[in-house]
Amino acid sequence: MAYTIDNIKDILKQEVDARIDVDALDPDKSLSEQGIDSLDQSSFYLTLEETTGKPFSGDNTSGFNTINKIIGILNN
Amino acid sequence: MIGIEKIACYIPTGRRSNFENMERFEIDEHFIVEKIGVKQVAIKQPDEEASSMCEMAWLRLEESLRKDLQESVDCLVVITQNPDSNIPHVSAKLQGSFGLKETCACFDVSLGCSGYVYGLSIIEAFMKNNGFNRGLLFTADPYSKIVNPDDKNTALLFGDAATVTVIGPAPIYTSGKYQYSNFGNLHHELVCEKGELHMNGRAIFDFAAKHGPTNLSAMLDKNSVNVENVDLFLFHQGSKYIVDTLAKRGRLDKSKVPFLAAEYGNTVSSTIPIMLEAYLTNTDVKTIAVSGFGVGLSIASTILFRN
Repeated sequence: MAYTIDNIKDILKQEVDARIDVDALDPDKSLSEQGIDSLDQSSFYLTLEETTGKPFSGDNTSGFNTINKIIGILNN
Repeated sequence: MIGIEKIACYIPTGRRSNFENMERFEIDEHFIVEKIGVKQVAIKQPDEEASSMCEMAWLRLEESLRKDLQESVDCLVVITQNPDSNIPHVSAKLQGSFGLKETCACFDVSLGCSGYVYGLSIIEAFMKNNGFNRGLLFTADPYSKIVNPDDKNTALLFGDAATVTVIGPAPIYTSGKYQYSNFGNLHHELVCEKGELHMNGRAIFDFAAKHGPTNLSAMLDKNSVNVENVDLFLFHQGSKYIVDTLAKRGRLDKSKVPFLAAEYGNTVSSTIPIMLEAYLTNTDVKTIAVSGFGVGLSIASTILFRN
């Protein structure tokens, strides 16, 4: 299946702080830059891995730190 | 049947506030209170060591009990990865310090956050195998010796404490069967190198969130206990976030999964006995699942039944 911005935002809604307006997130800005803290990112990436079956682990997250970069990896 | 008769704890009075480090670590009050859940961490005095912290825990047992234990303790086990020195073992020093009998067996066990649950199993098995009546299980891991106060990953979480659990023939709680897991391929994610602790927070989170619920479920199955019949889940207090995550992913009743380390932090192998002490007098709590996880990366779980 081809993943969309909405697919990723649905996962983000399950895992990030209620203070974050996920619908308003800019898909080209990093999650950190938009106020998603390191703990919520850990939860998000774990659920993303479990949902998609693709690895999103490692110390260097710069390759998948925006919604559009994540979609790029998933649909590649 | 032997089991847990008594627990006493020592949490040093020194504190390092996380609120004072918000700007330096680029965090806010919400992150401290609602996410990591640790407002301040307990810090020992510079001259305190694992053994002196254990001595303080020992002194928190009633004097009459201490006198009785001097004559009756058959073994003394210390869980620590930060002993006073490499040689000798802390347990040997304590046996001398407490004036326990010469036939008291003493040894240390090198384990971290899973150490209390492992320790319970080890001391129970050791006592049964040797026909012993009374034993002392200590936990003491003064992480302030190895935490760099400038390291956000560890300085906000880890605190110092020591506990002693009296194991004997008049138990309040007895343990069920144990379940262990170990992921040695991930050992490098939480290490002490050149005297300083290093933790990959995300890797530890992934490990605990993925494998903690599986281990717990296997332990409950092994004991033929339905999750709904457990009164309380005492998880190692790594952070509020991981405790809440374990409740969420394990689909547990959140009211049964407390986080109680806000005022002293993650005290490694001492977090579970510190919480357990408070429940020894609560007769409504019949069944407690306990699970420790961390360094190794290892997990150990069991269930405690009130007698």
